[in-house]
Amino acid sequence: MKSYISRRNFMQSLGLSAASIPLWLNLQSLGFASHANRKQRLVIIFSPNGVVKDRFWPDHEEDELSADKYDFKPILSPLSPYKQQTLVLKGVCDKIKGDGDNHMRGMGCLLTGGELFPGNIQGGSDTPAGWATGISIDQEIKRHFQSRPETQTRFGSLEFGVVVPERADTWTRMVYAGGNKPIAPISDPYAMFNKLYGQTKDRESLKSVLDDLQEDLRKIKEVVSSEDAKLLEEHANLIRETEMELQNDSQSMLNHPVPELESGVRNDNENMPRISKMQIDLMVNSFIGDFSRIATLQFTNSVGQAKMKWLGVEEGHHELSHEPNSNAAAQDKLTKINTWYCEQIAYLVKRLAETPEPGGDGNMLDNTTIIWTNELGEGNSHTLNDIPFVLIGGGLNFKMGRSLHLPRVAHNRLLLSIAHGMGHHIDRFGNPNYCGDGPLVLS
Amino acid sequence: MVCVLVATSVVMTAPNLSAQEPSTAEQQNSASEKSNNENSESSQTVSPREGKAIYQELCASCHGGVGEGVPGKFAAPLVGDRPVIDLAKLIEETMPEEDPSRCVGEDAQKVAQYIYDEFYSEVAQARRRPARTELSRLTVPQYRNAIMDLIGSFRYRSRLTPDRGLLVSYFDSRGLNPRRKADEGIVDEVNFHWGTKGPLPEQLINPEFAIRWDGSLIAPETGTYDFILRTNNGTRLWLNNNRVALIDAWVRSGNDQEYRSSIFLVGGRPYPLRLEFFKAKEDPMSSIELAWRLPSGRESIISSRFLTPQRFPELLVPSTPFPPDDRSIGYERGTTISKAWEQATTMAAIEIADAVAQRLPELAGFGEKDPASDIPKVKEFATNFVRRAIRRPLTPEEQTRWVDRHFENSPSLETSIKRVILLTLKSPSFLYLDRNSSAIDAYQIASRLSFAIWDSLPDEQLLQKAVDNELLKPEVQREQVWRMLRDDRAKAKLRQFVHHWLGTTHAVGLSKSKELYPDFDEQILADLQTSLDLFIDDIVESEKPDFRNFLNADYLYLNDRLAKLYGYELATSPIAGTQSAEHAKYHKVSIATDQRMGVLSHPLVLSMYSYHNASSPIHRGVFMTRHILGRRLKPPPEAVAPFSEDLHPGLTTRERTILQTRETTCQACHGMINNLGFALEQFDAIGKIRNDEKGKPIDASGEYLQKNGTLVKFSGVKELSTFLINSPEAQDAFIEQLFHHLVKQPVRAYGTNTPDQLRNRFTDNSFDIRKLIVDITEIACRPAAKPTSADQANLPAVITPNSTSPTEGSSP
Repeated sequence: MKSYISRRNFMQSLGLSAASIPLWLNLQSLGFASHANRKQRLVIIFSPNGVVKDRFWPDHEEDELSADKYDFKPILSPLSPYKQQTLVLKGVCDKIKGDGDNHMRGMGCLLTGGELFPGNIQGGSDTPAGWATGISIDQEIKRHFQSRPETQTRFGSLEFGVVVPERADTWTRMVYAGGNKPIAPISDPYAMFNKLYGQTKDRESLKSVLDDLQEDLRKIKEVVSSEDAKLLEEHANLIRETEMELQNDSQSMLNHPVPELESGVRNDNENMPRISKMQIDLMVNSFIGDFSRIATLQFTNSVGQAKMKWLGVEEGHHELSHEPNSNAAAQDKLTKINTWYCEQIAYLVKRLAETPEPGGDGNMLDNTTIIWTNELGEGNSHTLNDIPFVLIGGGLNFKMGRSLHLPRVAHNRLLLSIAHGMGHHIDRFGNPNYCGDGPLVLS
Repeated sequence: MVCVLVATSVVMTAPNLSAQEPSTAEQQNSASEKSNNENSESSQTVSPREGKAIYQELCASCHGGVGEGVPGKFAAPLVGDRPVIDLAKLIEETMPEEDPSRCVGEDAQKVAQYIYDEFYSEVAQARRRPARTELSRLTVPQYRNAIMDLIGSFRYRSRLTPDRGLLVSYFDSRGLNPRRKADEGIVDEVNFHWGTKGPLPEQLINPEFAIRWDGSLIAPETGTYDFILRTNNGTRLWLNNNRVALIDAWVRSGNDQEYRSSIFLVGGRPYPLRLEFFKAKEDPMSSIELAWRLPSGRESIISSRFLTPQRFPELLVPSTPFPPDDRSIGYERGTTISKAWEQATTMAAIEIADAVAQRLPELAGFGEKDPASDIPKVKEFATNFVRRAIRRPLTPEEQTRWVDRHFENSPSLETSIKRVILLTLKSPSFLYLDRNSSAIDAYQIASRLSFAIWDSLPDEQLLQKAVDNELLKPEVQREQVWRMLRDDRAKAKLRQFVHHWLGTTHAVGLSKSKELYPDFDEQILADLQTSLDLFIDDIVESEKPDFRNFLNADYLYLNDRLAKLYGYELATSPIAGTQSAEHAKYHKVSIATDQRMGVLSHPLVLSMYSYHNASSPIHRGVFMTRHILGRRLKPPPEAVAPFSEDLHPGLTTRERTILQTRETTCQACHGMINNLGFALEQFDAIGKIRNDEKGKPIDASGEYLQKNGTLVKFSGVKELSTFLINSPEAQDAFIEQLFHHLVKQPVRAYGTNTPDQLRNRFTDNSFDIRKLIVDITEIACRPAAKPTSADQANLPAVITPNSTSPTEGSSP
């Protein structure tokens, strides 16, 4: 739940003051001015506890994905309609060592590419650890985007969550503004809605009450002395000015209607499917409005314990992921769970593919790359090798419609590729020792 | 630097004055001067006198004594906007009509200046207008209080007990598992360095343990606080928000050992606080400090004085910044509005609507299960919200317009409630006090009382008394006032007033010469502030708070450091009846009153009214003239930098002050200022007693010419304070400042003899401040006096052109 203090800060930065209106207009007009330039977007989606390897990874490599004879394995099957826009990367490894168990490093180093600080959080094994030592790649690209007028947006990045526990530790945070600066995802769709549209709604409400205020002022004016009436006169004029300002800037506010959210959805495990859909819808809307071009979406957390009763799975996800591969029932359930996650990705892909690029050519998927990843390669072995990276969409200009088997490359190199794909040409990210051969060539 | 400060901002020519001083600022002074003996003040103002004489001789017969006009001769009043130079030319060429040559040259100049200053100019007119109560919006502190209490009225309320410190619970596990609770108790402050052993080596045997501290924090001032946690371990702090931590440092990471976070708090209120801590197995050491940086800048461990084990509900503190209130006449009041204020009210209304919407189930008391059945509850909440905000019941028409309408065709309950709140908080019915000048009803009385005593909205009991019309009965009113005075908010407001009266609200950044006073550091300054606070609390909290005790107290609160620096012996027993460590560290020390007596000789007050390297009879004198005696001072005729000590190395401070202000033009005011300040010369720049300076014995003799023309002489603080206690002028000054602090309207708007009535009552009541407040509120509930033409005519003919208030420009 967002505190109203930060809400106030947000209002101040984009508040009702006359002074801020030009900023608002400016951002909007910049959005329109950049029609000629492609709006590249990046979405990173996390789901936890590794995958069931033989039901996830395609058997074949290279360009064969596009051939109809090779189907996706069950877990990736929801993405089948978008096979040609998909790039599956096998062999990308999280090689970061140091403090923290694999779940912690898998999470904290996933997007930062650097070690964790020593600390007081004790995992299942290894030494205790603290937060990540550096910024995460999405925030690095955000920083780059926000520093240039043509890629600047109102928020720069949005951090979505679905049923992320209300506690801050190394397992619940993957996005970092810098070393020791984790960023909490917003798991409550209503809080996210308020962040995105609260101001618009408040302005509408404000507009609706201004006439009543004038009425109220008039009544009071009747019973005060003539000297005091002057003050009320002045007040009435100020309210009229506010009204004019609201009138003026509501005309330039939004290029799409404020979405209607299903009301009363409680933020808990049972509602996970509804929350997921709400968050994805809000994300798509935020892209349409060009509020942000970078988003992350974190399902639960590293070691996440979602109980997917709607799939007939009563056990917690993490608990199941510890079962040996020989436990067929567990493997089936884990497959169901991972497939459900893939369905969520597929829903986002579908929404983007169906939405024409506002003020541009093609659809939004053409300009957006979604990266689905995980803190582990496999739940029971806790391996940090073969971290799943499934990329969909044309945002990064990679050559899609492929399944690549890479020779155990450090994931830092993929992070570099992502930055380069987004037009941010850095030559190292995270621990430089793992950036050796530079970005993976994927285009 | 009184002279320099004042002189640079106000130059002694009337046109400039009019440009810099808002006309409203003048009114109060004109009224205040009314009871003054005209001669005593005006005899010191040399310049307009000749102009006045000329006017009386040559002009008054046609234009009237104060330019009001004479029917049949020249009926129109002498008012206008010509500059002095024009007036002089006009007079030189045309006046007096029968013989213009009788008033030319310098005489024309003087009479023009006199006319301009006294009644012609816009400023002079404003000054001459009789005091009246003005329509006022809520001041910024009133607005914040009103919001906090409005939302708070839907939560529980409890009164602060004298218990201090925090409740502590120890757990023999890292997870604060209630079943593993090892011990509990009360701690004074959180400042622990347990090393490798931990707090309870016998009970907490695990290598991992956890501790929780619980209670509330009492914020002493309004502004942005930094909270600081220092630890080798994991910790979390919640403050005024039970869901979102202000600081979450549960994860220790890298070398981070200090965590800071800011929060805006309103002073005088308790806020719920919870602090959790755990030591992990691998952490070699354990330690934790809970510190803060006050809005005024001091940084320290939070002392038990500001902590209570009581758990208070969250307070919704509006954090939208507001433009400051007008303080031009010495007290904050809401008689002006601006674009910035209008925008702030909008932003604050949105902020609050949003916060209420987020907490709607809790505030309106419904579950989230069945929204349809919640509508009546939310409507009821909305109705109560509006009623409490506008401080009276709604008419059926208002019920429709303010509440019901917003629940029809609304997309959600949230939108409905937000609209109701926006409308309410933007409405003049909420924002203005005393909205009906023609009649006073019971509801207005309820508001006047609550804003006077609490700076906030009436509570339910008061509103109920208004519904019944009971509140129109004087005895019911009094009963309510006595009840309200027991509330913490009333105490906070009174405490605030005493600081206002003493000018000690902003004792920040006071520093002294390191060479002369090496021991006077930040810590001593903080100790002195505590010492003064304890002294003020002593009087304010007492059964019969006696005005005289401020001036004749024969004790000081001292801790070890202060006792050492100021040369006192500490008594062995700490203050009885408190549980606070900080209290225990301070001792109530008896002092010999022939050396030091009352608050005028409190070292903090003396240090504030001093230079960094020397005492300042001028600062001390100005402080006493304005604050204690309530006299108005003109700005000095020219900007003067104080003489450097180096230029006159042999002179004492007293001698140097006399040398500097010996000019006749200075003596008009400094004759009064210096001779008050000299009586405190036995105290140096940090308020330490001295017997000699520069090898010469201290001369602490002083004098004061009272408004009634009698001269009093005194030497030293005891004689000075004894004089002041019995001085009607000092009593008047205290009463008037308290009246304005409470009511925020000019006292004389309630009748020209109000001050005298109040003083007589005050004397009869043995100077009981609480009884004085009761009397003041009774007057404030009267309809304002209608100014009569007699009042107009009685206006003083001479008003000093300076309107500097007693609270401004007098701090070093």
